[in-house]
Amino acid sequence: MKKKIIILITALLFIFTGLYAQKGTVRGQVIDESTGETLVGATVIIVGSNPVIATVTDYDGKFSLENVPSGLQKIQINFISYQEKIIENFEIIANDISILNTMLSPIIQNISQVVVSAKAVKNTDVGLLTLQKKSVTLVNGVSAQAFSKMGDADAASAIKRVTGVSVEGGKYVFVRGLSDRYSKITLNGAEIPGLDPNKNTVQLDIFSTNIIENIVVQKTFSPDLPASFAGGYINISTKSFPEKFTLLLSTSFGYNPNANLRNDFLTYNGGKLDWLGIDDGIREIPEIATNGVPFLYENNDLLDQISMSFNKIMTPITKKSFLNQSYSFSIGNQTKLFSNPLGFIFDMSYSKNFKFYNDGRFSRYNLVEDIAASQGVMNPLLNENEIFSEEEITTSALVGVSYKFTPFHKIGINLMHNGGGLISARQRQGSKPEDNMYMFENTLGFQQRAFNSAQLNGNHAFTNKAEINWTSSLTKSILKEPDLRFFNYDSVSGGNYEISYSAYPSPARFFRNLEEINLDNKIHFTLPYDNFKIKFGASYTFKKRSSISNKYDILSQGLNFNGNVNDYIADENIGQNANDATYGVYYQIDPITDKYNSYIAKEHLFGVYAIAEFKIGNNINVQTGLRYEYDYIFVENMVESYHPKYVRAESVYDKDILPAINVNYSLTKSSNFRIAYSRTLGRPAFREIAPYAYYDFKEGWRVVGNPNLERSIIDNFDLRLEKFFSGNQLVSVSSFAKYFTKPIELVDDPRANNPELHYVNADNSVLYGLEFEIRKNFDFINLEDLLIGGNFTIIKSQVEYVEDFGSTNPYTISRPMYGQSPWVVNMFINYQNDDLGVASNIGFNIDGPKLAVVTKGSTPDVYQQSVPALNFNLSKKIGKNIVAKFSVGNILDADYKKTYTYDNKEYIFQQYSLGRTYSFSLKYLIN
Amino acid sequence: MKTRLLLLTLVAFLSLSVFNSCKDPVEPNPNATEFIDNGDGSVTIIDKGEGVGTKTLSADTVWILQGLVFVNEGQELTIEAGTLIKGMPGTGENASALIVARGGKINAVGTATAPIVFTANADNYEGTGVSVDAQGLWGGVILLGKATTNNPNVEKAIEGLPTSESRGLYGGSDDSDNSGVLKYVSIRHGGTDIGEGNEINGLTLGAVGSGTVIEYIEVISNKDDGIEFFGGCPQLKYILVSKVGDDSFDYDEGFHGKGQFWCAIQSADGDRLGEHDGGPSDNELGAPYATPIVYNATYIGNATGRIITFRDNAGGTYKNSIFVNQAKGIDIEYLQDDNAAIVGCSYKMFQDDYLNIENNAFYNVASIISDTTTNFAKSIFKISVPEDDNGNPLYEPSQNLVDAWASAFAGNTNSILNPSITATNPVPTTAVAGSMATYPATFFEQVTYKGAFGDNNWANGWTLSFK
Repeated sequence: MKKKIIILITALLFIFTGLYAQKGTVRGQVIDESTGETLVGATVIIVGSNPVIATVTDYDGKFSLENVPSGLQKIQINFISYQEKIIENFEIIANDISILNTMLSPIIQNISQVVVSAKAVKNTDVGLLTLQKKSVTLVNGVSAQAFSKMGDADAASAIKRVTGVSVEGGKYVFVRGLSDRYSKITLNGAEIPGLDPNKNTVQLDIFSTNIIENIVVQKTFSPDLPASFAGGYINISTKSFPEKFTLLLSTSFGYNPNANLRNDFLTYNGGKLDWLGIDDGIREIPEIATNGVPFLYENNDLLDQISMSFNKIMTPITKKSFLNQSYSFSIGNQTKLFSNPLGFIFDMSYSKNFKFYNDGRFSRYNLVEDIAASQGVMNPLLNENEIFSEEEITTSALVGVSYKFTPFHKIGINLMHNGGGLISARQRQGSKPEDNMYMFENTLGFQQRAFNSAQLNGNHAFTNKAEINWTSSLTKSILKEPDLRFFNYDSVSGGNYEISYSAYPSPARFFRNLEEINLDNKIHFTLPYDNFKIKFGASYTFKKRSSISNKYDILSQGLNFNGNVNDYIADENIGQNANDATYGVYYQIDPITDKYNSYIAKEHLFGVYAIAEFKIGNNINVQTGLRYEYDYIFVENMVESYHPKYVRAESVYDKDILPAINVNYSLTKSSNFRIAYSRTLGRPAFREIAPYAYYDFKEGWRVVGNPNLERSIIDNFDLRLEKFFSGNQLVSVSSFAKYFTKPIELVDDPRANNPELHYVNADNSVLYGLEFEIRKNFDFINLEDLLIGGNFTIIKSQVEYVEDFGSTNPYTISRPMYGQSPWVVNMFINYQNDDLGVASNIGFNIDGPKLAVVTKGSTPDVYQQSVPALNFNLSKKIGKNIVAKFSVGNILDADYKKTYTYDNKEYIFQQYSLGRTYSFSLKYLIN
Repeated sequence: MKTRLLLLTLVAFLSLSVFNSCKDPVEPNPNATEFIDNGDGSVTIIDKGEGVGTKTLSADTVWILQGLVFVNEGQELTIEAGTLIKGMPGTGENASALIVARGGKINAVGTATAPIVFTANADNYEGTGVSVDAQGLWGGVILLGKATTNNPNVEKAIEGLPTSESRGLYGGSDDSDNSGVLKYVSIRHGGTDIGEGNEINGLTLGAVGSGTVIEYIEVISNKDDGIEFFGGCPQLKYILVSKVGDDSFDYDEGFHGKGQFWCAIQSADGDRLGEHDGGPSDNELGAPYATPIVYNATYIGNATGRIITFRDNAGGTYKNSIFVNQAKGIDIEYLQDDNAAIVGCSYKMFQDDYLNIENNAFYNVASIISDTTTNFAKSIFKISVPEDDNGNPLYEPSQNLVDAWASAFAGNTNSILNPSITATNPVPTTAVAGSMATYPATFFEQVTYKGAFGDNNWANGWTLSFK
């Protein structure tokens, strides 16, 4: 299927590109310098052409002039009440397409014409900066060009570069210290499903930067956006088709001495499609076990048959790892169909990376404290060494087609796949002092993720400059975790091994399947008037998700374990085959497998909004409006509705009217003062309202849903002062404060025997902070090619919650919000010399210690310590079409550390280091 | 595939179809407990929230527990002598167990000739349905009361149950609380995983008060502990725990009850004979302290495990008892702060006289069969300390402390003495006497021998261990 598409597109491209002869084409876009918006209907003329070669800009402010004689031309651009712009000496190349992007300014002080020499806008960062500069709301972003400079391979690593953004666990985005609950992520403006059974949030690492044009983070709400965010609204824009024929082939190889070409890399034998990150079925539950597993003595013959049907691979083997590799291919063009522009892009990529450490530490402590004497001791409960390896496979594909029926009506289709697999193996061993034993733990994992999306969108402009934009998007995401295998055992003195069922979880196999479909439809109308603009629109989002888990424990009755897992689970030791046991190895179904623990959830979300945008005087832009949202969430587990364990919950939130006002005061032409207020929402995730307790055995805690959970209301206040300078330079300072009414927090119930987390509405919480951003070049010493920059964020948050849990002593929580970094720092130095074709970059990223695990009782909470990350990239253009690049990642090779701190002393919870990666890539590019 | 997706999108967008998701569960009283007559002389009990009610389980019927069956607050469950109660297999929320909630009462009085038997569904009254060693085939019996514990919160959920099941909560302030009577009861083959990786104990006693009568109890072939105490102060006599997968007697959360004639016999896979914790890990030093008093215990090891561990600030008293055939003796936990000063721990409890091991007989413990062996007392009375990340001791207790603990062996009139007992016959040929500790006035029978047995076996006949 995909192959056919490639052939078709390639064929089309060559047919259309062959049509131009001896003459050239100029294409580009015209933008309003005062607002950053595109100008529709501006005239573009080749001065002196005969017959006249001229056109008007279309809905996107874009134009295309064909059959322009090659050579230096003079181009004139006009738009009513704007200064006329004349570009001198613009080079038209025969049989090629030249790009001209330019801006027009409104007529002021009788300046009605500007003449400039040709210089195309190349730097997409400038485009984003213009957006940042001109947007009424607070915006930050990161562009494709920046990803490539920094060497960021997925959206999660790229977005870390944005002011005030940090990424938790390599997946979840925190904006201004607010957890993923308060971030909203969309794809080309459309809602997309998450891949976590317990959250609704999107895992960003699944998006390959290959297919991304830019990522824009909007930090203030405007009513045309979904209201359920507080930290940031993040939109990922996929690549749109190019102005002219583009072909890109690239490959890279990476070497990390800690992970690649190692003989001691841990892995296990999987299926034939593992290299694609897809399980070929080898890890599925054996057919015979899918109808249930009888308990011991219920049907021992069938039980033994089932126990023998599971594969015997339970522990890792070592195998030499190869180099990290990635390949990508992209092709795109703009041509004509029935004399109207048709653009398309096709893009695909594949990468495989290896991760390995054998220096891991994994420990647990509790605090033994004599409160009266205010003395205490951190008492070790577990001390293990850890070896971990992971192969990460990422695949992506994008097909985009866009067609302009007329210059003012455009329809586009995007089909997209993001996916991949994680194959992991882990070994831990060490002492468990509490039980006087030495533990051995083996884990084999596989995770398959896929994210497929079809999007249809339309843009329509009318003669009175009214606009209609709509988008309809259907996305399906799948998370499969087949056959996650655990085998734990211990040794007692003298080299005797045993499996102590009461001291730690028994050997087991876990299976999980999560699917979610999102259908999102949005329509926006814009009505311009003389001095103001009205926008209004509506949206409807439907989500449906199903989550199914299965777990099988591997048990025996008195079967001797000699330390060799393969011997233990061999067929001759299964059930009745075992000679020296009450009963040999058998499988027992775990209640996680019960349909009681699987669920289906749905959400219907309707929104309508209206916005007014107007100017006060010449310098003040105001955007203000209201959004109304109606939300219905429903969740039920998969047992029959008459069953005593049937659980359903539904919530309707139908009274949410959300105001927003954004004011931008232009102090000078290049500096702004902004002030904004808005009210937004934080809604509970599906599972959070389900009124039952489920055991998250991967985390080792129980979570209890709360059907009475209310959505949180967040009042957001923002101030920003910013100044822009020529050539990509800027300085900005922002401050923000957020007041949460009934924020949703997780608290541990002190009555529970083991950690048991409850979702509660705390009374309120507050978060505030400051952001600085600076970009400066060295033109004052004639080094315009050198740009340094950085952004710094300081955040403080406080959650207060009091509950008595049935006793006379109220239990008080007073701590930072979960996962919130008190500070985030990003810095870079860029050097770019187009004449030499050399570009180099150094990037640095670090964020402050953040709460990672809330412990029980008085034992100090666990914090993720700062991990400074330094990367270096150097690229050189060779000839016209080849770029070679050398990169070093994770230069500092700092330890990842989660620790308890007691009495100013650090106690390890988990620690490891990943090593430096040296990579080399080659890119072949025609554009 | 992609075109289909696209078409779907189009259709969906144009119609903006509304998805129907409403479903109305109809069931008159979903919480009523079901007693299902299986037509073969057995009745299956399914508790959906209302508990068993005040009811008698008669001996002419086999009663089958399906899932957790509670005796709710205010209810009293009577079980006739000679009744067979079976638990269905299942784990977690599906585990079968009998739970007497706070304020509920059980009246289960068997006799030496007609004991009450709790066992697996596949088993029978005679105990020949499954292998005598089979473990974890169903749950167990749980009594929850209103007595005190040293948990930081007065109420706590019994292990394996979420706090949202309010009938699983235990703890209060009434140490004389009465959960009823358990007499001549044999609990067999239990210990299934009740949730979060917690295997259920044969008999679990959560904050049970001293008004409860617990006598002549057998727990055999349980996958986890035989009997586990979570705080409270129940008083238990004539208890036999054998062939269990973990510890025979386990206490935590400030248990301060009493015991006499406790016998524990380990099979190969048992852990400790006694695992004694003072407080929960989030409140080890809380009051009431764990200070139970046990007289006349007989603990017979499997020659690989440990007799008793005292830790997490546990105290406790063992007197006139017999400990035989175990690889390791009694160890008590020692903790110190950065200034090498002792902090709350079982050693501190020993120093403060809350931990007493007196007038007991040891034989073949830590390979000691003679009191002429050099440092024999140090081999049996050990001190444990925390370890660092590499498994080495973080510190060593001073020699004075080591010596003080070891000299308590002889100082408290413990002796090395062969009582001539075995796992198959825990009754000595002649009662073990001499240098007896005196008995407190109440509860304890004033016998003149050490260990759980004089010269007759009170477990004969009614237990599976000694049929």
